[in-house]
Amino acid sequence: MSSRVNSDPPPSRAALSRRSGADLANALGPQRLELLRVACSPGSSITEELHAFVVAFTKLRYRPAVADRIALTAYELFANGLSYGSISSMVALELAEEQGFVLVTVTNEAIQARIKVLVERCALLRTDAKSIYMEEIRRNVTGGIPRAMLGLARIVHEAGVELSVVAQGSAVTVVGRCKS
Amino acid sequence: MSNLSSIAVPKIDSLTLAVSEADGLVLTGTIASRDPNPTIGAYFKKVHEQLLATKPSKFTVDLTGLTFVNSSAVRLFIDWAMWIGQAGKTPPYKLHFRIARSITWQQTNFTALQSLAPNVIEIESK
Repeated sequence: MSSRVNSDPPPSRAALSRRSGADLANALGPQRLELLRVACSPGSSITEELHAFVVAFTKLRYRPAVADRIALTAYELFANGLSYGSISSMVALELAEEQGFVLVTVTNEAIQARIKVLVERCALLRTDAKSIYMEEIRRNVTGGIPRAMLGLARIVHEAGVELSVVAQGSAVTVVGRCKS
Repeated sequence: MSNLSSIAVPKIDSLTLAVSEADGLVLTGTIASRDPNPTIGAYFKKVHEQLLATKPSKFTVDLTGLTFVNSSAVRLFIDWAMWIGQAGKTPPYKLHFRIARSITWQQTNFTALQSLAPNVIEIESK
C-alpha cells in the first residue's frame, strides 16, 4: 500500500477541470483495462443504486469473495467522496483491471485540510490496519466521537485491499487495489 | 410476553425486517443507505425499549441473509450493544447475533464487537 502526494506545483483550476480521474489514475500504471466509469454530483443520493449496480456487475465477472471486496471498497470510497468532496465538483468512480488486480478508483476535489487528513489516515492504515480498525470499533462502543475512518479501515482490514492516495492541487484520487 | 410485532417496521427497498417472539429479528438483504439511523436505528431503539420492558434473557438477531452493510450500518449494531451496556451494571438482556461463516463482513465486525462487549453480545456462526 502506498500513500503518495505529488509535490509538483498545483496546476490551475482550469487545467484541473480538463483532467479526468482517469488521467490521474492512469499515472499509477500501464496496461489498464477500464471497465466502468460513473460520475455524479456530491448532492446526489445514488449510493444505494450504484452499490446494487456494482454488486451485479462484479458478481458476473469475479468470484463472490472478490466481488464482495470490490463492492465494499467502491461503496465506502464513493460515499467518502460524496461526503467530504467539494460541493462544486463531480465525484467519479472507476473500475479497472491491471495485472491481476482490480482497481477501484474514486476521484473528487476537496479542500487541502480534507486531503491532508485522508493522506494521514491511509498512512496510519498502512502501519497497522487491524489496530486502527479495532480502535474505530472501540471508539463507537465506548461512546467516543466517531470519525469517518471505519469505512477506510474496513476496506483495508476486512477486505484486504491496498489503498493509495494521489493528490494534485485540489484533486484527490483514492485507489483501492484488490487482488482478483 | 413482548409485543414486538406491534412496532412499525420501516419500509426499505433493499432490506427485509421480520420480527417474531420465537425467532427474534431477521434481517435479509443489504443496508447501503448513507444514513440508516433515522429508519433502521430508530426501529432498533424501539425494539430495545420493548425488550427492556419484557426482560428476556437474550434476543436473537439473525443476520445470515444480510449480505452487505455499509459502515454507517455497522454503527447501528454497535449502538444497540451500547444501549444494553448503558442500561445497568448487569446487562438486561444479551444480543445473540446469528451470523454466516461465509460472509466476511459479519465474521470480522461481530468478532471485533464481541471482543469489546463480551457480556452483551453472543455470536452463533452458521
